Formats: sequence, C-alpha cells, structure tokens
Amino acid sequence: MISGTGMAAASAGAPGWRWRGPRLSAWSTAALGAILAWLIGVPLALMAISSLKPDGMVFDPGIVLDNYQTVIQDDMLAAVLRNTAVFVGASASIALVAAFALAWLTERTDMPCRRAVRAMTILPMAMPPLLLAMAWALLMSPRSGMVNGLIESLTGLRGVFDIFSMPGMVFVQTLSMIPTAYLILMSVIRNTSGELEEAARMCGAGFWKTLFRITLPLLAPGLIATALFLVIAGIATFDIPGTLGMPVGIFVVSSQIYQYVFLSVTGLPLYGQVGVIGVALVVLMLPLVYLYQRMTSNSGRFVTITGKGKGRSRIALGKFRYAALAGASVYFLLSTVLPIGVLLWVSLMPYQTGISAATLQLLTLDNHRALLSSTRLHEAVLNTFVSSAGAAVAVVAASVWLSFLIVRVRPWGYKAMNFASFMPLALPGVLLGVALTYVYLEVSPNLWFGSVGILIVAFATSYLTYGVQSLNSALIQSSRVLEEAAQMSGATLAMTLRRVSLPLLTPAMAGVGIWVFAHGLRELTLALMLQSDRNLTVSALLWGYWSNGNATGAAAVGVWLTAVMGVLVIIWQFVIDKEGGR
Amino acid sequence: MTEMNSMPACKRAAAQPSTPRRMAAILGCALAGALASLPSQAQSEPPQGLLEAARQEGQVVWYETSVPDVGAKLKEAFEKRFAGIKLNHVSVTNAEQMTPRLLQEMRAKTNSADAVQISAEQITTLEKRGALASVDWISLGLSKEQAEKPYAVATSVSTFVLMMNTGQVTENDRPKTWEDLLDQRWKGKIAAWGNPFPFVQLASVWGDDKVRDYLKRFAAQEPTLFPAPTSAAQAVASGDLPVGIGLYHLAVHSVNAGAPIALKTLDVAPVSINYSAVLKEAKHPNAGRLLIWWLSTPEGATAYEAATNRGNIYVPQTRAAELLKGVKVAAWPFDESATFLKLAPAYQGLMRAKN
Repeated sequence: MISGTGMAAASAGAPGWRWRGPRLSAWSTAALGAILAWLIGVPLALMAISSLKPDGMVFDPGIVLDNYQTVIQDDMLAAVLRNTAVFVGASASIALVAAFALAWLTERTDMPCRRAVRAMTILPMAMPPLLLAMAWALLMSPRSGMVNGLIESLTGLRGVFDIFSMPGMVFVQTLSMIPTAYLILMSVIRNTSGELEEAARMCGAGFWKTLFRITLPLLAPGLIATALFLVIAGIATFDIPGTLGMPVGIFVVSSQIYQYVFLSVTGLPLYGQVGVIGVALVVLMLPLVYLYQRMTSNSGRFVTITGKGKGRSRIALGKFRYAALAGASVYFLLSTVLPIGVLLWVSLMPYQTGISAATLQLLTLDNHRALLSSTRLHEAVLNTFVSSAGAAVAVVAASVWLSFLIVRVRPWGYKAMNFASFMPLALPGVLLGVALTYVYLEVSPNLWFGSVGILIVAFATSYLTYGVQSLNSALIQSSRVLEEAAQMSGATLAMTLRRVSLPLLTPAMAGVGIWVFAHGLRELTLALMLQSDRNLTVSALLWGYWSNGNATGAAAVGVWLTAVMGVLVIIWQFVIDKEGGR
Repeated sequence: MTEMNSMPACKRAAAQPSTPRRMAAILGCALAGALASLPSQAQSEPPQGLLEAARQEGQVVWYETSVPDVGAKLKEAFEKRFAGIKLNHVSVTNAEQMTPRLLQEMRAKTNSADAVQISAEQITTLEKRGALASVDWISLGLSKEQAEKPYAVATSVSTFVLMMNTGQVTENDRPKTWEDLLDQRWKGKIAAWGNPFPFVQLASVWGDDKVRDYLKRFAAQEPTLFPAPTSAAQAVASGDLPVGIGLYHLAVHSVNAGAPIALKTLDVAPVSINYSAVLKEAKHPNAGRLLIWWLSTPEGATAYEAATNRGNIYVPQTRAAELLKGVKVAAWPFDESATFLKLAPAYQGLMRAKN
C-alpha cells in the first residue's frame, strides 16, 4: 500500500510526463489560452483602463491617477480595510473549519443520517444571500428580532443578540459560505483513500495524531484552495455586509464598491474608483496564488487515488456518533430551518412582519399566487434554467480541460493559466458586467447583447475559479498511474479521459455543476447589469419585487428557488449514490 | 401650501441676485403654480403628424427603471391607447446603470433605446455628452414647467415622506415636522436611506448652512442608514424601527398590503423629479416623442402612476400632485445640477460620519 502510493507519487511528480499526442496538447493549450484571454484578460484590461479614466468610462479620452488618489485619501479607507480583514478572516476561518468537520463526518465516519446531512448542508446554497440576511435580521434584530423576543419573554433580558454588528455579519456570512466550502472539501475527502489513515492507526497513532500528521497534510491542496476561495469570495460578497453592516456604519470593501456604484451622487457610477479596488484585489491575489502554487507544486505528495483501490472503511465514532449528528443538526437549524422558516413565513404574509399569534390571521397565499400568475414568470424560469444549466456545463467542461492542462500536461504557461483562473474572483460583479457590456456591444450587439447567451458567458466567467480550483484539487489527489496504464495499454487520449480520468472526477464535476447551477439560479448583479427585455431571470424578478417595496413577494420567489434547489440536491444525491457514493 | 402660493415670496425670490437658492425658489414657485392651477397643458390627442410618423416607425424602445411586471402593465396601457405602435419596455432596475449603459451603446453605435426616463443629474450627464435630442415640446402642447429644457420633460416624481409604524407610535406622538425627528425620543429609532438626496433637495429651500446643521443633529440621532430605500420602508413596516424617511412609491406598497404604517408629507417636502428624453441616435424618434407626450398627459401620467405609484407633479390629476398640495416642495432646478452634485458628497459624509 505504502509502496504503491510512493510509486504513484514518484510517477505523478516526475517532470516532463506528457500525454501522447503533443500536437493535440499544443493546440489545446493555445485554444484554452485564447479563451482565457477573451473571457478574463479583456475584462481585466478594461477594469485597469477604467481605473485610469476621469469618469471611469473606458473609451473617454485622457489618463489620470485621480481615482487612485481619491480611494487612497478616503478617510474611511483604514476602517474599511480593518473591517474587511476581520469580516473575511473570521468568516472564512470558521466556515473552513465547520465545512471540513461536516465533510469529514459525512464522508469518513459512521455518523448516522449522513445522506440527509449532506443534502441539508448544501441546501442553503439556493437561498439568495440578500434573503438570508433579511431572514436573520428578522430573527435577531436587537429591537424586534424573534429570537430576542423569545429570550426577553423567558428571561426579561432585552436585545441579547444584535445581528447588525460585526459578529452578526460574520455569523451569517459563515453560514452562507459553508455549503461552498463543504462541496469542495467533500469531493476532496471522498477522493482520498483511507489507507494511510488506517495504516497510521494500525501503527498506534491516535485520532489527533492521525488527523494532524496524515489527514490534514493529505488534504492540504483542497484546504488551501478552499481557504483562498473563501477569502477572495468573502471580499467580493456584498449582500450580507450590505444588509447587516452598512445600516450601522460598518463598511467593508464590497460596501465601498456598492457606495461607489449605487449610492454615487455624481450622475455616473464611480467605475474608476471601483476599478482601483479591482486592480488592488488582483495585486493582493498575486502573493496568495503564488503561495498556493508553491504549496501544491509537488502534487505527488497528495496523491491518494491509485490503482490499489480505495479504502472503504469508515471511522467509528462510537458514543460520539449521535453527538456528531447533533452538531450537524445545529448547523442545519441555523443555516436552513430558521432562515427558510422565516422566509416561508414572510412569503405568507401580506407585509413583512414577525411571527406571533396576532399575525397568524394574516396568513395568505397571495404572494405565491401573484408570483405564479406573473406574466413573465414562464419566460424568466426558462431563461434562468437555460443560463444556469448552460453556465454549469460550460464551467465543468472548461474546468476539466483547464485542470488537465494545469495539473497533468503542464504545458508552457500553465502557471499563468492557473493564475488567470483565479482572476474572475478579483473582478467585482459590477465591473465584469460593465466589461462584458463593452465587449459584446463592440463585437456582436445583436447576436449577444441582451441575450441569454451573454448571461451564460457572464456566469461561466464569474464561476470559473470555483470550477478550476475544485477540479485541480481533485486531480492533484488522483494518481497518473491509472491514466499512464491506460495509455500504455493503447488507449487514446479521448478513451483515457472517458474511461479513466472522468469517472474518477465525477463527484468533483457533479459538485461543480451543482454549485454553478445553484449560483446561476440566484445570481443577481450580472443578471441585472446585462438585463434586456429578452433575458429576464427569476433572480431579476425577485429583485424587482424587493426593489419595488414588496419584500414578501421576494420571499415567495426565494421559497420557490429553495424548493427547486432541494429537488436538485435530492437528484444529485441519487446520482452520487449510483456512482458508488455513500 | 400658503407658503408655496405666496406670490410676494416668489416675486422677492425672483428679484434677488442670481443664486442657487434663488433659482430653487423660482422652481419652488413654478411647482407651486403647477400644483395650484395646472390642468395638464398637454392636449388629449397627440398632434396628427406625430402620431402618423410614430405609426410608421411602428415601435418604441423605452429604457426605464420599473420592474418587468410593471413594465408589462405600462406596455399594455400604451399599446391599447396607440394601436399599431409596439412599446418595448426595457427594465433597467438599477437606475445608476442607465447612464453608462446608454453611453456605451452610443459609443458602439448600437443604440437600441429611443426614450429614457432618469434623474436630473443623469439627464445632465447625458446632455453634456451629446446623447439627447432637442425637441420643441411646447409646440407639442406641453407646458414650460413640464418641458423646462428642450431635451428633457418632467414625467414623474419620487417624493420623500415620513414613515411611521402606527402600532408603535400613537397619533399624538407622531412627528410632524423635520424638527420633531430630532427629539430625543427618536434617538436610535429612525430608519433612512444612506443616500443624501432628500437632504440635498432640502438645501434648495433651507440653504446649505441650515441643512448641514440639521444633518449634524440628525446624525447624532444615530439613524439606521439602509443601503436601499426599500429596506428603510420594510424596517418601519415590520416594526423594527418606529419612524423613518423613505420614498412614497416604495412605502405605499406596505400601506396597500395593510401594514401598520402611515405616511406623511413633510413641509418642506423633498422630491426627485424624473425626466424623460429622446435619444439623439434613436431609431424611432417620433414614437419616442409620442411616448413622452403621452406620459405628460393626464391619461398617461395616471396610467404610469397606477403602475408605479409615481405620479407627475405637473399633472394635478395624479395622486402625487395631490400629496404635495399644501406643502413647500424642495427640488433643485436643472441649471443647478452642479450645486446638487457639489453638496451631495459632503452631505453623504455628514450622514455617515456619526453613524
């Protein structure tokens, strides 16, 4: 077993290993490079140019540094950076630990109800963060929050919890990030053989020693990629800090971007200043991605899928089985039951109000009736499905292709490709929307602009980072031995991919597909920026209700989105089980 | 109302040296005159030549901020009125995105919009960049108050009102003036939008110094400043905060749904007037003119208000005009957009400073 892994490591780590058919590889690299340059390079260039323009409009004449000066001299900058560091650092750390614990429990232990916990951990992903924040505001507002009301009625203490605070923001952000982190880590852990852990235990290592000496080092690529993803995505997240922080004056980078764009008082959004923040994010990512690449460069260290077959034994939790389930249930309660319950309640109310006996008589299905009779619902559902599914297929396909080049083939420039795959995270959604508007208005306005196709391009660009990093992690853990063996047996590249590589990646690919589809369902910024009368989506419809003062109508949309996602998660579980998952 | 219709006050304002406040006072008088006496000056039928030219074009593409469902209602009303002319309503719900999008389209020579409705600041930005067509609106039957400039027509108004949760604030305790909001009892209990627009408009009547002083005391009240006006309205409707300053057309949804929320127009009442314009590169300019003409008539303005809850201050048949009767209206005139833009960031800082 150990020697098998060692062989795999030696083989996987050997430089110069190539697929047969180098010409195909060269063409593939060139084609992918061109697509990346188009999808990511052009928007990034436009963002950089925008930061140097007086009004942030790319094609305006003149080059200035005023936007940089304005951002740097902003009195609030120090506080904004400090708040961002605390908000992102705390939420990403807690989410990473919680997601790892949940993924480990569902994939490696004999905790009861694992399938249900797996589904329930992913389910909150369908809820738009705006509605999640709204639900928690209703639950834990210091003045009228339902939880605070309950505590007050029991203890007489007023306003025990204040969701409009930094801890409140961190708490809700953590809940919203756990499903994403869980999805990445679940496929990583699923792909990790238990043989080494078993060997460690047989050699007398205890639980903690095995965890810190074997399990965590093996999972390092996945953990680092997840952490990096959570940090950068956390910087870009607006809905939660906007809903819970801005009202009480806690600004983070994303609220500052919102301020520049949506609370601009100049007659034009301050794209130039948003561009400055985007450029700063790219610069910030350079050392982070470099660090990640350094730490995962010797991929052979992490190989755990070999030709020797997976270890299938689960760790027995003994008397802690039900304690683990109770812990997972607390997460489920906080992330799903309470917010979705509140959302459902709000959707059944004529106006936004708390839960009480007095308001029971107000229960109505009017919001759901209005939604279902909306003249544009069918069109919005179709557009949403097509754009989300299209983006999911595109991201999975591009990520498989890109990850194979980055992790397996390693052609000239593969590090640049990997770096480029991180870049969409640094592009604030608003700027990506603006950049795509420029690009497709110039290129092919009638065919692309305002179409569902441009939504697919936008969503795929935005979510490419997640796909590539998830599949990179999975591929790093998967030995080349099997692929080499297939090729030595005469299999073509296509056959090797189809019969060996892709089946090994199925859980990770399914995870990426689900994640992209779910995020496509709820994507708002890009859907609104690129909206025309031809590509209305459900999330744009939700925003329409909300921005028109109809929060209860928006909640009804959220309930249906979550229900659709619930069905999807169940189907996905079915697929995974069929593929041999447990 | 008394103050608004006081002609001596208007004459005094007009006689003063040209200052922003004088201009604002003149606008206030104009608005007062409009509210007091205007039967909408637009005729009930469009000029025949315009209608025929619009019919030949067959359609109009309208960029507007209402949500798609509302857009569908407007489309139905317009197409019912003008058979044979199709209205393509493009919902740009983030109003802030409208100007850059139009400018991008103009640069790429791919303009699809014929007509737009946006704020005065955005209209000014578009006009400076040569995006708007000049139209002789007066010859089409519109009043000078409606068509202050040849490139823009006032077609709707967003009114800032006081919102109160009637379950938490008894009738006797309700604030009635701007000053009442500074009472200690409302400290930490006021909902507001983080955008300083109502206060910037207020400066057109109160003057800069008075507004700055008020904002300092307002900020000391520790208001909860929401990123969107909708959130402020919801906070009051749900009882999370007992009072707030919000936009009438957003808060009225909760009122209509039966929420315990009362709305009151303050005296002075800040408003943001929304203007419609025809794009210079419009593919259907006559249909665009016809649409804007229609929006300026009692029929069009009331249809628009029925769908959006935003009426037209210059069309007395609308609820918005009724709402503003008897109070002094605060809005900077077009020519003072530079003042507006200068004050806004400073006021935003004052609001944010102590929050």
